[in-house]
Amino acid sequence: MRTSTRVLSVTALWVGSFGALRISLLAPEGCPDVTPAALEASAVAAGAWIERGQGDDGRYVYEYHRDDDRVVSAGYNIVRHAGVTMSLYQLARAGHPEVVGTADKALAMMLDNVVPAGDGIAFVDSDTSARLGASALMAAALAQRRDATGDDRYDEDLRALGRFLVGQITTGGQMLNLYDLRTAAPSPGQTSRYSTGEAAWALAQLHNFFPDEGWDVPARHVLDYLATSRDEVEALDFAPWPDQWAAYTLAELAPWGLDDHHVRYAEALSERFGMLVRYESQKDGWPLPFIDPRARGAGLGVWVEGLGALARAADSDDRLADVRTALDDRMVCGASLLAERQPDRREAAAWDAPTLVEGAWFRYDVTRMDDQQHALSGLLAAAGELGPVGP
Amino acid sequence: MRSLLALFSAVNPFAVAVALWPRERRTLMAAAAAVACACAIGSAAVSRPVLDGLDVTPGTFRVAAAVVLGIAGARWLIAVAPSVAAEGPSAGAGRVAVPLLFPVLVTPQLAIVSMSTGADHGVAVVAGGAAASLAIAWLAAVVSKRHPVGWTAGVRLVAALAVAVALALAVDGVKTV
Repeated sequence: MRTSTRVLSVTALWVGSFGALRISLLAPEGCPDVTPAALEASAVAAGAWIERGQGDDGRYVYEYHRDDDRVVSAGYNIVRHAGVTMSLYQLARAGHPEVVGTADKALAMMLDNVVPAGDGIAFVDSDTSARLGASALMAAALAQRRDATGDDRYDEDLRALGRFLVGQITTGGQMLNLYDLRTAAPSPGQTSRYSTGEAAWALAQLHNFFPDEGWDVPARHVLDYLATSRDEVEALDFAPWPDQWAAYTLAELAPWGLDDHHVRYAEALSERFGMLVRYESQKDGWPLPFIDPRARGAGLGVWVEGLGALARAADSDDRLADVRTALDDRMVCGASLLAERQPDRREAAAWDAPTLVEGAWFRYDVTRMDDQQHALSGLLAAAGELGPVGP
Repeated sequence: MRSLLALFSAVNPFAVAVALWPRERRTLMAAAAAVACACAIGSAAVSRPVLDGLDVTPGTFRVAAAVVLGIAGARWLIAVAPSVAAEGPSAGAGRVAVPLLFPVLVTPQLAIVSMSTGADHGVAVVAGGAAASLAIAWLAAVVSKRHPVGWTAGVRLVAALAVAVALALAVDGVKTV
């Protein structure tokens, strides 16, 4: 090969290699500059979207398509109803008590739909079965409400929900997702990748409010299962499954002391959430968003929630000190992406129903209420507003 | 240790020897190795500003380095190292540039591995690892050789090491918070 040809081929190799990397693996990680106040304002805007969409029956707007101005209520999910309500109480905890009225209206709907189940009560939308997640997130909502308001009027409901959750635990800490109301017994064989962590978090919060009542035993039992065997037993690929509810549980129990396997699990979750946010932050430029669309608000919100909860756990446990700074970096990066992608009033004005656009996160012009729930919770965590509950 | 193995496999002294078969002149090869080492150290020294300028974190950059190293390793496994000894001038600074520095010693894999290692572990590690690897490459290139079979096997052995190190780097990069 002639020297000039070799120089050209080497140049082409270097430029081509860098170009290929720059539009793929080395795409810039865009993390907009943002202040904690701006993050909190973004969370407030998400809360306002939820409030504006609430009906007289306490339910929220479930799903909205802004391209054809269409609200979808079919398939209204009570687990998500409880989760959205919980996030409003988190917002109240963060210094926004004005949302308590809306959340209480949604809570009233939940209280109207509890039935005896196991040794306690369950929040249901069916005569035949009760779902673990609905009761777990209702309990979480009550715990966040108690922390936000100091009002203990629902303590017995909280405990009764907790007893139902405990009844769903099987040998090894696994939790059954359904309770059969007709046979008055847990339905064997079905689990949920979401509900187990939700229930663990609810039980951990019960322990923080009532530390002498032994709620830590089931909470730790389930956390042990999540930390050591859930991914394998439930065949979840690419362990650890990015479970922000488990991260919340770790944060809630960290002040009481974590075991070594909990710390290893927290590290593994940190790595998983960190990777997800780093990759998402690369989707602000061409061509990654066209190859792999940006995450939903709920998806990115969940990752930021997880990072925020793990950062709180790291505050209480020196064994996580090595990842503390990185957790903050990734959490703020993810939250800043959420804030940047949230339509403001000016952007919303271009659509048919601006009040159903402002403050919400859309993908393919569709938003669902849990997009706002998880983004709101993540933004509050990144603003430094959330942490373990307690008297 | 992994960083040193990454630098060693990015250089692949056996591939250097096969590409410059049968042997290269000592002084020219020494000059080229010194320049290549300086390039590696320079890459490490500017790694942080470069990563900041590119808006990427060290973990993400590690994954990119792993891919480049893995591709180089795969190429060596498949095609070994084509001889380029007859290319370029036969002596002088021109020969140091082509073919000794380009395409043999200063390669995309050496540049990106040096930069990634520099960002993760500092310039000293890169200086030590690159100097040692290039010294071995110098020796491999200038020593008298007759039968290419053993050298080709060496290329593939280090290539396999490159792929293994690349996998480890990729996993580590992906798992970085």
